[in-house]
Amino acid sequence: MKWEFENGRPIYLQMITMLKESIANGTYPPGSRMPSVRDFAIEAGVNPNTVQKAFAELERDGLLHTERTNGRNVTEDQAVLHRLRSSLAEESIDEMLRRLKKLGMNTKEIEELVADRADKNDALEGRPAEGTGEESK
Amino acid sequence: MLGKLIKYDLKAGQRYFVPTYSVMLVLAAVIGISSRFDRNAAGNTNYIFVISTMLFGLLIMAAVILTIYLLVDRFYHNLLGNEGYLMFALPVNTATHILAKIITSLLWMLLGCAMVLLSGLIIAALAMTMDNWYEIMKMIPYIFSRYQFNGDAFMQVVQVLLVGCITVVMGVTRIYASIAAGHLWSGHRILGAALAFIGLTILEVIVATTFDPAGFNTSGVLPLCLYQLVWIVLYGIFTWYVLDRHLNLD
Amino acid sequence: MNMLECTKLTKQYGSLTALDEMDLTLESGKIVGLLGPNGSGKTTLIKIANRLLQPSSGELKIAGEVPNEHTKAIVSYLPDRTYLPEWMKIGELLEFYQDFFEDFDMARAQELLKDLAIPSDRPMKKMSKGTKDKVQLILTMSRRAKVYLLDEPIAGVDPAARDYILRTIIANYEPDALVLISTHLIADVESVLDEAVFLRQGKVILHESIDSIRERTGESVDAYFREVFAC
Repeated sequence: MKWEFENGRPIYLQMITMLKESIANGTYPPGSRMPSVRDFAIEAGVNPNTVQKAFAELERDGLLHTERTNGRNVTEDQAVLHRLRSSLAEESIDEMLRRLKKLGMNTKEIEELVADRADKNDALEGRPAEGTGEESK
Repeated sequence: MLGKLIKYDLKAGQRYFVPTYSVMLVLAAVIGISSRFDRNAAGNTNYIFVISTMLFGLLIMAAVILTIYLLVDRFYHNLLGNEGYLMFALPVNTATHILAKIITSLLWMLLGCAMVLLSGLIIAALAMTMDNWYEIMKMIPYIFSRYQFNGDAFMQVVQVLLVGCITVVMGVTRIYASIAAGHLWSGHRILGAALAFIGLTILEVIVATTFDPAGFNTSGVLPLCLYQLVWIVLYGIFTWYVLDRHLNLD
Repeated sequence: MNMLECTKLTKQYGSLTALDEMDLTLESGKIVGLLGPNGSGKTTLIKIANRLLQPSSGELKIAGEVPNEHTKAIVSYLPDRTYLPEWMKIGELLEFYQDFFEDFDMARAQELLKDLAIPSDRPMKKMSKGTKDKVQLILTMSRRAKVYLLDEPIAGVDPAARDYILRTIIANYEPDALVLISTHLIADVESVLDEAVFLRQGKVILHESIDSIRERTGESVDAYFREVFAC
């Protein structure tokens, strides 16, 4: 199974983004063991050096740490994970705000629209409406 | 490495030689056995004997042609065809490759001779009745006394074998040199090789008659061998030079 | 260390210049793509590295040595054709490689061949072209070599087989080796490469890391290649 990468950006950057998402949403649970660089490279169909770069970056960010036994584990530090989720959420929101502003909406309109859609979303998923809820995606 | 190369060359050949020589030996046995009946046949033609003898003759010709074909093919296809991409990727120098092919060709020739000899022995062994054997047993002391089986006779046999082998190697290296020459003419490699072979044969004849018009039989074995060795070395060096410096696969 | 070094490497066939005073230095530990249109000199370069051709002038060195038997012992070469004897069976081919190449990993090769489920007494000539290609690749990648030279390993091969081939390359090359993949199918190979070398008419016109190309041009290397080599 080869991963799909888009064209303009270096692959290792895209891999970092994908890995951050996977860690944030629990695909790689806290404290779990990451596959080796080579295994990961084979699975994703990329150069092992690329994987190495991505892993190294994530280590610098504190999301992975190297065990004595030569493997990498996902951090269990909840503060770090919380920061990760927040920063990913912020990126999404900033992106959304940029796009909606381009369509000509102002902040108040956006807030109302967000609350409204959040309620509708909850209703679809069978949850009670929360009023001004957090971004759910 | 040399041994390994020879091993695989022999392997490539054995799938042709094993069936051919097996049939030959079986035929020899058939000839030997059926020849007994021939003696007793009263006016009836012994078909088995006649047919198997004919087939045997054909088989010997086939074996000769097969040997020559294989020695050419192993050189042309294995070194200069697609397989050359494998052979020349081996950590072996060019001279070793050429030497391996020469030795393999020589071994195949010797094998052929040995098989013919063996066939003869089989025929003889099976064709003779007890009376025949008895007579031969009586003859053996006579043969021993006639010919001194001392050093001289032994040396003669060795000399014959030596000249035979060197002559074979000279022919083989002439073929290889021709193929190498043909290799230089891209697009017309086989034609080039054929022309080179004809040319070299003519050259050999010219040189031989210029130096000793009467033929080398008068001069003795050693000068003949040396003369042939010179040709072998020249052919070998030329073949090496082409394969080492002007290889151009495809 | 510099595993492959070309200095003013030139190869002429009569009036045709295949390599034109080429300079190139490749280091170990990298997977490099040798990219260029047909006739740009890719195969010529690889043949010289294997001593299948002699340069007209200039030189090429593998680990500091001009190609000879010693370099052949550390270079694993996959040509772009069927080069294994057709009459040999899988078992015999394994034995052959083990006999001649000290760095051949028999266990690894058998493991990989198991996945292809080929009986060991099947001769090459009874295999399909796709299977032959895979066998040749497996034998090549089962050597613990210092340099791997792969000439068009994925040309003429279906997409599933391409994935298999690329995965096999990634999974089996020695970590500190130099892997040189010559191809014109860049899109498939791009994510596997560290560096790209663009070759045009026997000269190196680009030698850059994949990431750098992508960042600089905002495109994939495949797209950039098409621009550079637009006819």
